[in-house]
Amino acid sequence: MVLPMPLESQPRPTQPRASHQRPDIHSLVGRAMHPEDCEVRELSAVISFEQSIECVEILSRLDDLAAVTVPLSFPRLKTVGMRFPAGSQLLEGRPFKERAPKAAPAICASIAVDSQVIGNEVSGAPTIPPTCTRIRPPRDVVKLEDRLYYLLQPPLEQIFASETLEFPFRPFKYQFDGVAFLYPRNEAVLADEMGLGKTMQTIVTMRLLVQQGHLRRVLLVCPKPLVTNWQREFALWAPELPITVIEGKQARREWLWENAREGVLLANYESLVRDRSCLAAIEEPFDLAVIDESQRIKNAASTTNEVVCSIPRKRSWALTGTPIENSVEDLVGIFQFVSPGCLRPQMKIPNIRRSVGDYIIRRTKDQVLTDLPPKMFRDAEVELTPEQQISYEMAEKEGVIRLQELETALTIQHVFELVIRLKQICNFDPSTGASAKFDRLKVDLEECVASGRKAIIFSQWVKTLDELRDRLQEFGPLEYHGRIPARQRDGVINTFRDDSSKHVILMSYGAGSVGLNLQFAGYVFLFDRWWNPAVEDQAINRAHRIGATGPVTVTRFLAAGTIEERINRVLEEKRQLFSAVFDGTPVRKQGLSRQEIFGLFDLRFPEAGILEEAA
Amino acid sequence: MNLKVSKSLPAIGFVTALEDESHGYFGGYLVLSSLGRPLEFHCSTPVQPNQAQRILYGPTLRDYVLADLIGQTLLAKSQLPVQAVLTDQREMLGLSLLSDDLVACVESTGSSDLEVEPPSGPSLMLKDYRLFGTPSCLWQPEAFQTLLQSLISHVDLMEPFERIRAAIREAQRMTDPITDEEHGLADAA
Repeated sequence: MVLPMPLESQPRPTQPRASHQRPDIHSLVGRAMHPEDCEVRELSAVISFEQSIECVEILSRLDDLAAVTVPLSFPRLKTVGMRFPAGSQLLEGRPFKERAPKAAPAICASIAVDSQVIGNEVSGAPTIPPTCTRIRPPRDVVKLEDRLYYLLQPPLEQIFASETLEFPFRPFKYQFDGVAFLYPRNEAVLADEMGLGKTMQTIVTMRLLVQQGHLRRVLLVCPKPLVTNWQREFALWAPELPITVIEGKQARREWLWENAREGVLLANYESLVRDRSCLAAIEEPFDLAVIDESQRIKNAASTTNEVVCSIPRKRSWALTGTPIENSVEDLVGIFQFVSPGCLRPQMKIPNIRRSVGDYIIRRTKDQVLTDLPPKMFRDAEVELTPEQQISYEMAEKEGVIRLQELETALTIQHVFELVIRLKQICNFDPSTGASAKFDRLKVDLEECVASGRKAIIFSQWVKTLDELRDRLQEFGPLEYHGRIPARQRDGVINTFRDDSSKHVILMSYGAGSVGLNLQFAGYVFLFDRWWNPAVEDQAINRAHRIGATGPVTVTRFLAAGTIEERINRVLEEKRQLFSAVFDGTPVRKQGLSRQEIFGLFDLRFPEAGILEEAA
Repeated sequence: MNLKVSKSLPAIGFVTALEDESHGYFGGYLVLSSLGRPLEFHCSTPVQPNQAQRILYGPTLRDYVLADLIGQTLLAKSQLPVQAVLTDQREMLGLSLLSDDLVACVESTGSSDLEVEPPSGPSLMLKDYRLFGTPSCLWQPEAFQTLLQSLISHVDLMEPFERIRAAIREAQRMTDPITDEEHGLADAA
């Protein structure tokens, strides 16, 4: 900018300015007070003063242009990678063929991969189901590579839709979830409610693991009455898996333990305990050990628990519909097998929930089987007949007096004896045979038979079942309890299912509460109540399970104003305990203490302060 | 050292990328057998373009990052040769210029992406999907269909990309304890 100042026609000579002389730069105000000349020429300014002229050269020429480099290259990309066994096989130049099962003797034959004819018609390809169940690695798998191994497996629905594995029918979504849960776990508890298909889920998972080459030798332990049920289910869901049942005389069993080197070995708890020395001699651990009805090992101090825990194994799965029957200590016993050290006695419920959370999967019918016919409960509260009432009051009065007389010698066993005596009177009067429950039962059964349905009647005593058998002849009762030889039991079930003249089966809780599929029965009667609700639930679920075609009516008999009413309250408390561990609902009490057992008769507990689970 | 076997095997590659607001682009490459079983997998560290790169690459940024940087690197890392490489992102189609593999983009016929006209390369309808390439993609639709015939009888063609995304998220979760939600991981497509 050129200021409006007078310019001289001739530039004055400039003189160098001494370094100590600072130029006077006048402001406009100063210029007005002290006239001066100022020349601006080609961006050089000459300032003239009155006395002397000092020229100052201001370098206003731009420097050379500086180039700024903007980095456009990206940092070097790093990768993480893994190769699957099949991929490695390909790289090593070995002929690669994905494992397909042997052809199963089923209605439509599988098409082997290498002989598969590929058509040009795309529409002929099977439809891939839209739902997508992925195998997710458990928390204890920590290596990234191992976690990715599971995540990158195809969804289970794709495997099921594939022609290389044949299944009798498509599982439910929750069953896919169960398989996806078991597949990656070395330690797992499948604790679905009875009737949701634990057997099927286990077999299918085994089949997939065998197909992938992860399993070669499996040991499955179950209660003896369920061995044939497992054989049947294996034939249905994994027909290509070789099954060896460990049974027969000792020499034969020893030979089988030693020589059955592939496939699934099926043993029952009783024979396993007898064959503990054979287990100890096994050099190569089983790839997988599965225990069915794992509540069998709930007592951590029992021989069965000790022997089961000694099975040499790489993976441990436990199956149970009732992981807690009486107290949380039941779960501790099961986890001694599944994941030793995971649970300790006396742990608090929130800690237990945290510790077992990643190992247990449990679903109930209410959660997953919205299509299952309803299960209706009827609490048949009956008044004792006058004969029963007299017998009951006399027995109770005498019994309590006897207990009180025992004083310090009184034990819980004495109390139980009285409880059992009273419960039996609630069923039948010992002197006259009168029974209010039976009278009611007979009426209900007539209705049941008239509608063409079948009924299961449970009692905890074979003696009661005998009495019922004699009185219910018109309904063609069948029997399934401890006195029926094991080899005859399958025939009994088949007759009950197929013979239209057989409407009633009499079962003991002990023999008939686990592993049986009786979904063709529409009525369940609990003639007397078991000590713990889990066993009752198992009994009920023989009928109320997948395949049930109609509603299941459960009638629970209860003699009003008797010991049965008091026990019923205890059962409800145990149900609360179960909910506290698995559903997280708060619990008021944790089972039945000795004091409470004694309290049934208003007796004082002789060793106050010591709590023990009673049932 | 490149150990890649020279002859292609009955395997198909699937490549895709995830975009994360705070970390950038993660890539994943999965090789499947004709039955849909995994054979090989690679995933990349994230690529985060800076502001200058965003400005200067302009609309070509995603194509460059996905195909030239991520896709090319992942394919180069893989040792198993494949019969074809499928992607669910059009930006990856640039791989056809960078690799000898047959590359195609898969889109669902019900996808809104289809409203955008695909490049004028080869194109093929397979079940509910349209497969297409750029003019540089040198594959014949009939031959390509034959290549995929076995795979599509076992696998939904879009499903393997879900596996890749799940694996990338897991890899990211393992290296960064913040949850996926906090990452805001979202599909780049």
